Amino acid sequence: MEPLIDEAFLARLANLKVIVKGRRKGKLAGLHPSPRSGLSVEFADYRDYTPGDDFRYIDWNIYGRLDRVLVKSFVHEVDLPIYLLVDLSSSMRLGQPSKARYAARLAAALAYLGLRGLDRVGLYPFTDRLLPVVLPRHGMGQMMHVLHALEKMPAAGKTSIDRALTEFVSKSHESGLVFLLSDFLSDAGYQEGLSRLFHRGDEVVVIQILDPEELRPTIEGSALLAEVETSRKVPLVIGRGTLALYERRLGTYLATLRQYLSDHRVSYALAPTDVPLEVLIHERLRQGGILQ
Amino acid sequence: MILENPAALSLLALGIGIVLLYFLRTRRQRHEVSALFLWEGLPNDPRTRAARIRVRVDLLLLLQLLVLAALVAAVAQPAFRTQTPRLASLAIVLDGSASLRARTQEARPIGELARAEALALLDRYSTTPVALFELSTSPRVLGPLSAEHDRARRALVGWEPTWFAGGTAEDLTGLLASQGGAFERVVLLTDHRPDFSLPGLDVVVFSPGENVALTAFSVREDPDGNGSIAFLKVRNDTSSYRDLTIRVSDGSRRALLPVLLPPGEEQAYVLPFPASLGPVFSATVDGKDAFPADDARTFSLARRTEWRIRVIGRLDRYLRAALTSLGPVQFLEPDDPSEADVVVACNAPLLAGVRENALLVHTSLLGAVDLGEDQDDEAGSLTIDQPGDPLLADVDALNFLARRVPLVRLLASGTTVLSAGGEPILWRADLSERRVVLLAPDLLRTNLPLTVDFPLLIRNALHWLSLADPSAPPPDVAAGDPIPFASYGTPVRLKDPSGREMEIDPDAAGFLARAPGTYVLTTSSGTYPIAVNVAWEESPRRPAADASPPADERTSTPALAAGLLPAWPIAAGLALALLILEGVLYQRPGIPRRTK
Repeated sequence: MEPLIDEAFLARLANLKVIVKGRRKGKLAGLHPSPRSGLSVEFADYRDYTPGDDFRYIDWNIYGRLDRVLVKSFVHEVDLPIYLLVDLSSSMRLGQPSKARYAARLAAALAYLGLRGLDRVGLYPFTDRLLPVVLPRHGMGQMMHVLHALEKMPAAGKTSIDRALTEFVSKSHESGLVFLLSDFLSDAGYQEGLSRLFHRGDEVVVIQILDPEELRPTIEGSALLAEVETSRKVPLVIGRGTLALYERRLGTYLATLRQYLSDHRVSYALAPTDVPLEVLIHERLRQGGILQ
Repeated sequence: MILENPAALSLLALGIGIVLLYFLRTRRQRHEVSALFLWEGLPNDPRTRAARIRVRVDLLLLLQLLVLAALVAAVAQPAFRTQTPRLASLAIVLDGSASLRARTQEARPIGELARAEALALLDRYSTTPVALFELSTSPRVLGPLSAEHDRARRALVGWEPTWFAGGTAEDLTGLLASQGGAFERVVLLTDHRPDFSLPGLDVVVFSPGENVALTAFSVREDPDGNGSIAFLKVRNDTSSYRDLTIRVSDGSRRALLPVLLPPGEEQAYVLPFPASLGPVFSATVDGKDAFPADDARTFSLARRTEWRIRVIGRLDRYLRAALTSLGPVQFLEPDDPSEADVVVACNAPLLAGVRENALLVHTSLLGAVDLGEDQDDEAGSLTIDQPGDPLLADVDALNFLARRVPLVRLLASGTTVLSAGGEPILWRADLSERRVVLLAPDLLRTNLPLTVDFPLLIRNALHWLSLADPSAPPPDVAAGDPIPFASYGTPVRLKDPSGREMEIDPDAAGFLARAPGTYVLTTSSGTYPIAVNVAWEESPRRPAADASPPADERTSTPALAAGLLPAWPIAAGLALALLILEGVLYQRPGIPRRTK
């Protein structure tokens, strides 16, 4: 089996970093600007001197010209918890390569970018509930934990994004950047779970991973369609007309999803598994304002 | 390459079953999808449903069909011709009898099959001296013994069987002897097993199909005077009951007889045909069968179509009416040189030189009868001396009265049938030179002309007189039988069944009826219909189930049996190899198959 990630691939990720919209209230020092002023080298503003301020930050040039004692304040840079939520339900094992494998490789790349940006990265696989997680931590040592967890996770079980996200919110008390990797092919709903993330203040990025056969099916003839998660079956004689109806129905579904996410200012990217991962990261995610 | 069992090729139809099974198998393919909610409710695609029955390339199906084809080829017993065989001499004998005009169960003309087989033999033995014969009641040599087969081939080009009966062993021996007699092999191409065997005789039998035959048909007059009675025999040589309708016709009227005939049986039927004396009758039995020629037969009553009566003296008008009621009558003058069927002398002696059979009415005949003066007989009642005499057939003589009868002196031996007052009044004699019937009383002195029995009496008298002809023509003949003209008189012309007339040399001895039907012969003494039928034994018969062929008989062509290399093991081996390959491929993943 192809390794999740290799040296050359990591080297090509060196110039990328995760875009975080707005300022985050991080706990630890990092590279993301905080709404609080801090001690970074990036100038933020002036304010009047008050007793107790550090004399080193008084701008003496301003005092000489304006005869006012002003103190320079700087941007406070903090770290950011990055949560990688990976759908590992049965539907993710379909495709060649499987959607689960594609999601694992993408999660590994994102974890690398996060850790390299001095952020804490945690892995939260889920089906209709959370699976054993890798809690967010700093440092490249965390990368090995993430990779190890991604390698050994099988795709099985039903999907319930609502329940999984609800459980995620209850178990992770700090808001952060949530990468949600899933095929979103479930009629169980996703709005409730996502809304909990919005309310907590998480910044959410949805990457929908689909197999090309799901986007443009090539089935023809008499088929017995079996849903992998429920074993329900539907007999159907499929022809061009049927496929056109399916694609129309899928298009409507995806448009509804995108519209919902757009309404909540959620970044969204569609990731067909026939698109090479590098192309996805370097082109589509950058064009989507997710990476830079 | 040839096929010794080409009928096995019909087994190829089993391939249809394989293909049907292929299409009828469930073709639904299981596909796993992430979620059904996008598929549920979608309509089935009707065009794709129809496309399910399109032929698709399937390797396993192709192999299965090839296995079947190879197996069928093996059963068909293919064989290669190894080399051209050669014999010292070969006699090809075509059965030329009418039965070769029958058809096989597959409706193929047997004559054509025999001709094709003869041509195949000529091809096969291209370097062997071959003589070609036709065997029937008139056997003939079609091609003399020669290594050059051109003449035999030319004879076969337009050859077709005759309508004659089949030839005998003597006929065949004579044919072979005409070409030297010593043939290494004799191949008889026929439709039935012959009842004889010869050394070196090989028989190729082309079995005829199912047949219904009219095997016998004759007509005679009803003794009660009610026209005619037809006698028929019908044979059902099929495997099922046949609902048949027998039709008998005299050309203007028709009688029908529906019958149900069990398979394999022959039954006789009697069909009254009132108010008709023919003279030509035809009988037909309906139904399509292998040999239509025996579904119709003709018969002509052994009577003249026209009575030629020489009249001596003046005919009483009642007597003339009675004579006219016989049928078409031509009355000849006493000095007419034409030959008459009978002479009627009424109150006048016969002229010298008249030799025909004679009905004497109140007149004498020199050397036979001498009539004296008439005497009165008050009682007038008659005595029947010979109640069963043919002259009294259908006649009630007790109604006759004769009050004045002549004295009769009989000078020749004869039979007195009726007498009155001790004197014979109806007497008949079969003299050495002619037949004579004497009606002694003067008709005007009796009540005879006024009775209903008088025409019957006259008919009986003339029939008895006319049947005296010792060379009466036969009522019907078989095609191929010679018919001598001596039975009918000096020939003038002949009309064949197709309506073609031909003049006949008066010195001709007879003619050969080559085709069935009704011939009309005109001679100096009258016109005669002659019914010619196919010989009854030519009707194809089903062989008995337990019949075994004679020791020398073979029902396969020797030419084909020799010099052949059987190839069925090759076909069988190929079938086995294909079957193994199909099995291996079936077990191997990746081979497209319709179901898993």
